[in-house]
Amino acid sequence: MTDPGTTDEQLEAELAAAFADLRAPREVTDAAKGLFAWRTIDEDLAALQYDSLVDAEEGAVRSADGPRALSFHAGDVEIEIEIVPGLGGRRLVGQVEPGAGAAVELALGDRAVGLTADGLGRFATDLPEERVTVALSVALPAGRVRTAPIRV
Amino acid sequence: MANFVRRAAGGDESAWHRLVEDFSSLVWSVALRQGLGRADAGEAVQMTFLRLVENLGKLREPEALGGWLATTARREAWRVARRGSKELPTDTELDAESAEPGPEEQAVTSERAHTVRRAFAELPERCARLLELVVVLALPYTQVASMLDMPMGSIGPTRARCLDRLRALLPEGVGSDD
Repeated sequence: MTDPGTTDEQLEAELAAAFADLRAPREVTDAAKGLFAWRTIDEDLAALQYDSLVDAEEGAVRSADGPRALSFHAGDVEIEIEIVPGLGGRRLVGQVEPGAGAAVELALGDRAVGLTADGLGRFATDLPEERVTVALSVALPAGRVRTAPIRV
Repeated sequence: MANFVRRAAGGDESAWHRLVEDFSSLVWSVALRQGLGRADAGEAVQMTFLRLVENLGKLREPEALGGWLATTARREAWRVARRGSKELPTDTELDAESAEPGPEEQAVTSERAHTVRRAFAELPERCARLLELVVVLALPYTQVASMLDMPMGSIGPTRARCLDRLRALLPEGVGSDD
């Protein structure tokens, strides 16, 4: 005979307690709340087109050990970035095409970093060791192109 | 819930907070099920909600948000797992958290919790899924209905029936002080 004294509420409390590890820790939930700052109302965000972590499979052989490479596309504009090991940590190197001499604004966590692309549209900056949310905004003659935010 | 999606898309931050409160445990649980440790699961949660913030205005079926998030969480968990060791020497972020015991050690904190988990494992798949979504993850009924593809009106009765089955699987005394 099962215990008639166990109400549905008690049993549900037992169940919730037994699987407490399946509920997100408070700090994880709070960090996700902060992501609202990355909302954009831009209709033509440059979408993530390629991420070597996900898309390198087809090329099989090279995949795993190279640096992480990502590319974004909006109209005729292409933005490529790579995360490479640097001297003191990690570096982000990128190229915007076409984008010679363009002003590149990098939102890096809660910081903004202003960069200027060289004659080939290339730019680079140091990254913190910890994982961080990044988005790029490039001023071009035809208007500003922004990338979707990514975690690197 | 569709309403909160629309409000968040329109710039209402409190609606966004509500969405995160309601769904972060679902996303977290999916990441754990994909085999991630706690630090990596935390990262997968961030990546998943970043995808949501980017797509708030484009979700075709905001009432099916739970399913969209679960699918996105699986994909992002996979991405985190692949990135894993090759890019960063250690998980510096959420470090304090990763020092905590893993899900297995932590969950079985008491004999009773262990007993309940064993009984739960005996439940039919559909009961287990429903009780997890409704009781453990505390998702809104509308979302559970769409995720399990069942009418909202039958969730309450099914929940009660599944609790009865769980109760029958438990040895006497669980649920009372012991």
